Amino acid sequence: MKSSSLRRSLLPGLIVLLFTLATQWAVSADNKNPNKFNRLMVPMSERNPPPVEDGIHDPENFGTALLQTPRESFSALPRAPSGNNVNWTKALENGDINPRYDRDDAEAKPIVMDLNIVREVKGSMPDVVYPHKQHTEWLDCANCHPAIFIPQKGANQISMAQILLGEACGICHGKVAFPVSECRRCHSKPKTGAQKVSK
Amino acid sequence: MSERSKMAGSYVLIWAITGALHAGPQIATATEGQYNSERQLQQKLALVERMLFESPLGEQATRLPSELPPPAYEAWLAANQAFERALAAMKNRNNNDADSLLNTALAHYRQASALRRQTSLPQKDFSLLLADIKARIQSYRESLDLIAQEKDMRQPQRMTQNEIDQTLVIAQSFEQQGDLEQAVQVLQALQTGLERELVIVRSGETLVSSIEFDNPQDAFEYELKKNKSNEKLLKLLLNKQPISKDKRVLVMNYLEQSREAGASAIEYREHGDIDTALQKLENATAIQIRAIRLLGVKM
Repeated sequence: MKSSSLRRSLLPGLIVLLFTLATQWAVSADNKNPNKFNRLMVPMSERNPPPVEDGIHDPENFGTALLQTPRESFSALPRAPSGNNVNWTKALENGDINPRYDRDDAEAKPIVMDLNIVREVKGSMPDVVYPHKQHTEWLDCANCHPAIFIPQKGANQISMAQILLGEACGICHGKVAFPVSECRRCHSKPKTGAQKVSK
Repeated sequence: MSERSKMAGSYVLIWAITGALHAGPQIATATEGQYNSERQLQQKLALVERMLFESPLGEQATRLPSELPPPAYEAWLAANQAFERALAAMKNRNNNDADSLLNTALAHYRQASALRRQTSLPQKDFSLLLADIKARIQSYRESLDLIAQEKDMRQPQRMTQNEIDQTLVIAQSFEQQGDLEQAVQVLQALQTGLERELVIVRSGETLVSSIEFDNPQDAFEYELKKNKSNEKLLKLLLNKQPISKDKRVLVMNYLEQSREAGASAIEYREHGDIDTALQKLENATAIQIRAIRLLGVKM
């Protein structure tokens, strides 16, 4: 085959290749945009990277490569549409995970508090329900009180901006618990008729 | 071969290359975690070696073994022996034995580490822990007092104030004797007791945190805090979110408008017109939210 005819035959293919690569680049650049400061709001393809690539573990450490990858360990757990794609509450309910309540005592049982806090919010969004039960099945009271939340009625003002800044609920949600993009998981109590009129 | 079939061939070739480029990471992901067993063993060996000689325990055991509690040092020596035997087993290509010996070394290492921690936790760690627990106990006591007032109960909890005070005195005496570990243990038990009390008095309840304020001043303070955190978020987003020049100009305009409305709200409040002040501040917050949404954050 003459070189000119080879060039002619490869040209359309090369155009296709360049077009494909350009599309890929555009898509990946677009994926990098949304809310990068919130770790669990990254694009799906970038979630749950192996420990050597997650930016948390030391990639130079030999032990890091020995760790099980999240994609592998999470594969058996109930799925969630956001965050790290695991519904941790359901995983705990189902007994798929059995977190140790006390690092030094495998038999220790959690102190579970069945108390709901309803936080009224301005505007049209439903009010927020904070269930202590689901949180205390896994966490200790001292994880949140009094350093993050003062355990007194009305003592803690929380705003969405604070949460997005990684304060209050945002200390866990958006980092290790489901992100704030899951609005309805917290804003779950519809307003009453009277509230709708007055606010 | 015709020109047409040559062109078709080149397409196939290019698509095959592109496909391989696409599939590469997916194949890598699928095989992730399936390490070569020998490589894995080598990594484990390196990990155990680092733990044995480079950890605080390892450094103490190699440099100043006399400062280690004897049982911890003995456990470390046992770990070291198992490690040496694992090395020999690996040289003889007996990987199963090597793996099992490395596990033994790790078990001894953990034991040594726990023994060292139990006997040589620095006093300053206890003092920090003590301060934390004291703050929690104080906070839980205040909560219990408020609940007692709210429920008009003289004594909401089973643990009396006297018992709590007595326990605090006991902890304090340990602290004064310099036995911070014992003081921590006493206070931890008290903390757990108070947590259980709170669970009992609040169990099954639903508390409502209302935004119906007692007076407009409180409503203004609430809005002001919200306004300040929105401003902080906007600054962060402007620094971190990649946005177009046009969008940035629009956001900056919103930011300026909200600042003007906020300043005007403060002025109205200073002149005693709290209702107008609140209205202005709510307006400032609404503008901020518009800017935040423009930056891609739903709220």
